[in-house]
Amino acid sequence: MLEISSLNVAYGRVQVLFDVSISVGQGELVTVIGANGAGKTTLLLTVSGVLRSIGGEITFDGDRIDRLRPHEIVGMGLGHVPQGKELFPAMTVLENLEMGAHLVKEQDEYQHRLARAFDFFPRLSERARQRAGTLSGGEQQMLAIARALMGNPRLLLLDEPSAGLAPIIVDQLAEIILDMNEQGLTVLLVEQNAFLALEIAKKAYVMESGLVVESGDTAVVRKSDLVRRAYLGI
Amino acid sequence: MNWDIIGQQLWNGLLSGSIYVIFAAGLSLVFGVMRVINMAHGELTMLGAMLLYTVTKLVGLGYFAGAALVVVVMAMAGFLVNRVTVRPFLGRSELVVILSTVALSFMLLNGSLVVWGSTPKGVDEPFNEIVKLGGVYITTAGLLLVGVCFTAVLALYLMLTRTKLGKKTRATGQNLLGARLIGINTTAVYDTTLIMASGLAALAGVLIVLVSTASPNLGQPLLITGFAVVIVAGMGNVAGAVAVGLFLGVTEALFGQFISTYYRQGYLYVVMIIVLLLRPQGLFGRK
Repeated sequence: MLEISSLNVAYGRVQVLFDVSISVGQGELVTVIGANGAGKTTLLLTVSGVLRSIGGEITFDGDRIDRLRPHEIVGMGLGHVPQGKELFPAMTVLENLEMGAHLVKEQDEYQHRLARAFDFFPRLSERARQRAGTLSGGEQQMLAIARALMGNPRLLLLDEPSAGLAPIIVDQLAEIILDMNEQGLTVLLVEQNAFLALEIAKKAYVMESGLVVESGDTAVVRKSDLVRRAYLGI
Repeated sequence: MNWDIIGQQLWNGLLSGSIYVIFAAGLSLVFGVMRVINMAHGELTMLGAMLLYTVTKLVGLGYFAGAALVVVVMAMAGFLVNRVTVRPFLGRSELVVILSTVALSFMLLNGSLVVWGSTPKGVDEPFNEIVKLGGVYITTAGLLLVGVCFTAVLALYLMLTRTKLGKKTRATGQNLLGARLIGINTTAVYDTTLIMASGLAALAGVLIVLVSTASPNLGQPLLITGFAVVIVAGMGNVAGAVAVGLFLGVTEALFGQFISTYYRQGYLYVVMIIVLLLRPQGLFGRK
């Protein structure tokens, strides 16, 4: 579904991604783990068209997307939950969700998506009239995911959903991510929290300083020396 | 205390305050959505007034037809303002965008001086009876000005809060990256923002001539006043700009009447400085 091949990205003269190749198949839950500054966020921002690559190719369902603009890529069925959540703080929870579905014209379809979002995150329906900026960190993360779901994506990019959240909330989120995946949503999850990521994903890539240094089934990756030493500490 | 004089100054203040409101609303909109300080906003108002003079006096259109034409043309010109002076410089230092709009401002100002000369030009109002209300003289043209200003600002408010385009515009202003990642075409949002702001600026221009004259020099002092309003209200806060615009218009008129005509211009700066000292984010600003 998503094929990233030999992707190179640079900020000015500083190259941050080197020949990164990642493949996400239909219905898969794939993770990219790595330390801060490994280039994971850059990778996702390049996929959604916010950053331009200097080499390589990205295809989404066989169509090249690496020269398209973000709104065109989102229109093709890509959802992106960014690292900083990037909500609309002065708008209500409901307005944020409405914005996520801004391409929807039919009222029925909108209500259907809203019901599904509240199904995944019942907490948000209690907070529907509250400003997004007043939510707790966990609720903001839920809203960010729900807002992306409102676009009815076929592929969801998740950038560090666990960052800054209490362990119990992280567990809840992990459940929801698995749940969404089981319902047919393809997910590319970027995480610093290797425990979480390797537990729920089926395929994993390990990035270091802009390079993919390890990849394969999570069961295999989890046992590699590199990952045990650097990320799991065992 | 002479209540008639106070009443008259309240009316005069309402007239200038209405202009400040509609002028500052556009300035604030552009800053709120794009984080761009449009130094050419005053010149867009000036062009509105001068073009209205041209199409009424030289082409022969009536006031309403001329005003509608000018506002529509200037709104469309807002698209060019974005594509030529703003968009190419976004993502660099904010100073670069300020300078490019300053350049546009100078070109429009000096170009207008060449085309129209510096003598103020009068435009015929569609009607101008004087009504005496108590001891206060009110002109029907002034009533038209106040009415149109508030209708326009109300329309802007409803557009921003009730329509999908308005919500997308606010979303883009609150979080550009967030807006792009949910697939909002932010380039189109920026285009429409400058189209609306430019239309509002020109509307201020065609209304000013109802109570004053058209001159290439009217934009600069208005821009300074507009900044005072926007800064006192809090940058990017359109609703705050409405309240502050009215307040400054009225108190400025009263100040001119009772304290000093000479220091009238200075009054706005004193208010601005005091507000900045006590509440740097502005009266209605957040953070």
